[in-house]
Amino acid sequence: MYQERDLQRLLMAVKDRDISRRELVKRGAAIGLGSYALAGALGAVGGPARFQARGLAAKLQDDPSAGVFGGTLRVAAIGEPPTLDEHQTTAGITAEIGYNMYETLMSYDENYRPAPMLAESHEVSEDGLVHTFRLRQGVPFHNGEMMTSADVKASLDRWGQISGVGQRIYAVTDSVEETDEYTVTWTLTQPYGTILVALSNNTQAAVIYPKSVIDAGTLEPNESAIGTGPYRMVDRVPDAYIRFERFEDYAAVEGGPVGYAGTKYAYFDQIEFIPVPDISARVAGLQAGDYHMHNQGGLNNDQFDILSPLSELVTQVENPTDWPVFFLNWESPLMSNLAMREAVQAGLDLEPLMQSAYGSSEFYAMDPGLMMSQTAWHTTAGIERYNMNDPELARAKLEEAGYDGTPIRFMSTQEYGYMYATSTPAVQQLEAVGMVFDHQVIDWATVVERRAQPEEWDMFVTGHGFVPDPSQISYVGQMNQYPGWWSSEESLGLAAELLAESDFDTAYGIWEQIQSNAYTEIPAIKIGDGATTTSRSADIGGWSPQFERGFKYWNLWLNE
Amino acid sequence: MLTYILRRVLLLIPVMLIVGVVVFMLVHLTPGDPAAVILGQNATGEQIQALRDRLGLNDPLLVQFWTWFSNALRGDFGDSIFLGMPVTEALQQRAPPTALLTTYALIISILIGVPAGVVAAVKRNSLVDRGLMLVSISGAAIPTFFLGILLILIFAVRLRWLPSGGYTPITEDPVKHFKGMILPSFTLGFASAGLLARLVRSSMLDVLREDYVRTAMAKGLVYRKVVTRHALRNALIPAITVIGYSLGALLGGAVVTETVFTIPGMGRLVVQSIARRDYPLIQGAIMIIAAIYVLVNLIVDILYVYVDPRIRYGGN
Repeated sequence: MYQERDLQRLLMAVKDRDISRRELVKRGAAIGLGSYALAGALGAVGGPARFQARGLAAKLQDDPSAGVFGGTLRVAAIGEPPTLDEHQTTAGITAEIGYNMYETLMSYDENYRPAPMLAESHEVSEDGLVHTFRLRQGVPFHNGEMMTSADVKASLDRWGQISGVGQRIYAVTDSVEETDEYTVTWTLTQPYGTILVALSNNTQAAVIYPKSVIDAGTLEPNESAIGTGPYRMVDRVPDAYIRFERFEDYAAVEGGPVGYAGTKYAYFDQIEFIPVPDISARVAGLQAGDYHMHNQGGLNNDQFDILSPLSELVTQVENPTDWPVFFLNWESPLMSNLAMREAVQAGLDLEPLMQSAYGSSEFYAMDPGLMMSQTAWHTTAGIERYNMNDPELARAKLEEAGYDGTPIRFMSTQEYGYMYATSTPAVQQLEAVGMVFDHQVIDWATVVERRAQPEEWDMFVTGHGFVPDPSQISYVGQMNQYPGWWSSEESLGLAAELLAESDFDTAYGIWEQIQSNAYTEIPAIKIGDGATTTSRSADIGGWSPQFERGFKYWNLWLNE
Repeated sequence: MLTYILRRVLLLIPVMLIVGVVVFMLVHLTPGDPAAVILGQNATGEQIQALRDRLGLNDPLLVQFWTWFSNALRGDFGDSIFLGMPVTEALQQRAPPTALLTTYALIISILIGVPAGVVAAVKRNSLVDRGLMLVSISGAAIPTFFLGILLILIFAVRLRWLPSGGYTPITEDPVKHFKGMILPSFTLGFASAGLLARLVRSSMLDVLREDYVRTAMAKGLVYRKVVTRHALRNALIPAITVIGYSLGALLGGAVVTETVFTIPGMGRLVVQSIARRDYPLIQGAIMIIAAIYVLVNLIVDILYVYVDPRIRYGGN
């Protein structure tokens, strides 16, 4: 986590007598540590800094139950959510804003394992087919109704019709039943190992709406924004603001915060999300104190040097959360040829692509893992085919493929800077080994439309965000349905096994094999891991180092 | 005069019809669609098709056009796909910030541009003239987004006198409203002030060489009076055209200014709705903006008559 990394540096510096106590307190404050906590840290120096730091980071976090009530948090948002209906969209901004007002049966704990949220407990039968969810009692919705199993069933049924993951689970669902007012029994026709992960997820989340809201609106995007969360939406003027107020009747779980689950304290009177789509305006607004923070993905690394010297802001480089990736179209005449895909893989020197997109090496990491190093799933399987930079091999493969100079249609966009910044040098590198490109730089909506049509393209660039479970990687979970259409029989079989398996160790072995296949069969080429820069007002207390699935706005407060 | 105005108003009908057809075609022939935007980065083709069906985007284009156009004739532009409200309501909500922003910008550009042009013409070829023209050329040449960010850095970030962005309705808090509008209005108005100053200067120079100006001077009138009463009034005729057209340019510039200063106006609404492929909203907004443009031109033409009684339209 970030504090871990920052603390590590600090402790090293103290050990090597590079900085004084005074300087340590000053820098410690800049990464969100109180001087009281740091006094403790000083006494603890000794032993391997890495482990010291991890323990300290956990201990030194502000006590989430000791926050200050009041104030309005102003958040500069990267834009407007396409909809407020969580069931509809995979958009990250809907998920992050939605966290404030909606909740799910399960949610992620600090290690990205499922933990109960609206469910009180969960049991699964020995054959893995019957899942029983006991619901918490006395949980009100923002409209005053109390949550019962009828709301849960209605919400799950709707989610199962609309969302991709929901559709896949419902395809193996026998029934979802209200056993009594506070019990829901979910019976499957075959085991589905990742059902709890799917229910914990926050993008296109299985949030629980009141049945009355669902009955009124069926499958259309539903903007009523009624959930059970710690904040409720009171006002929305598109492109101007979305305003939340503390939900006074919120039924908090007891026992303290557990990652994205557990106790949620709503300290702010109000939270305002203000869409500030222009990045320079966001940065200026943070500098001027007009906003307390931005939402996830709101800064790019170019701003780090501008913002990090300012003492009224806490600015830091976080763990990687995104990886640019080039998809190859298995249904196009060119890329259906394995030798052709191997030529692309061999011809690329990936580090310059990451430099072009993210800047200096502080902001990216070269890692073959499709699951990031923060998760237990991380593996380097297939590393020998990662970042090959072997132009000779690429030329040989081109020859083997019988490539005749047909232009390769490569779709990219400038709407997401890193996409254009990686595709452009890639085209240059591959042209140098003898490929011909039709580099199509178009708007994102067009890329999304065209990539669904196999005859329209050969390659496109996109990004994949951090996911807690391999089943959520777009081209693993939806292997032969996601544009690119990875459809080797062996990998499809492995993916099916992975989805059904609920034992982690067995599943990990399957996952290693899938990642290894991703490097030999080449449905896509992972470029590298991009880090995130964040900046927030030094007045904000309670900041949690876990941010990968979106910032949490509960358990935060203003110290002013 | 009245028949002239009537004829011009009647001509609006075919103009708007053509605008309607062109806008509809442009919007629907552009690749990309709102379903894909709603569903986000990781949606599958089937999900997109299902949502397209629900949104009625899979109907034949002619059917969609007829539904839209027949409703538009009755003033109903349909519902925005993303905002969940009627297009007319969305536009009504966004019109005041843009209208106020362009009005303030226009006032600023006239207040700066006209006096600067007059002074430059009167002090022709002096240091003052050159200085003013340098500033006005720079004004016209600096891109709005750059000037906007520069002003934010100076007045919001360094000096902290004014907010870096955002919008407060005038009815809610007039002081906060004006404080928030100073930087965007100046940013937007500065460019047209530059153009206006150059235009007023050159037409003043023409007029100052006219015989009647020499006559007025010969009569012994005060120089200041000759300039303001006799010369300026005539020099303003071309300026009025430019002011009319610059209203169009200001509406265009408002798109950028609203984005930089985070003002929820019509310009930003249009840009956002294009990125989201919010068909009904794009169509409605462009129809309205086109109508404003055409009306402003009509008003400019009518104003001519009042400023210069020699101009008469129509047969008489």
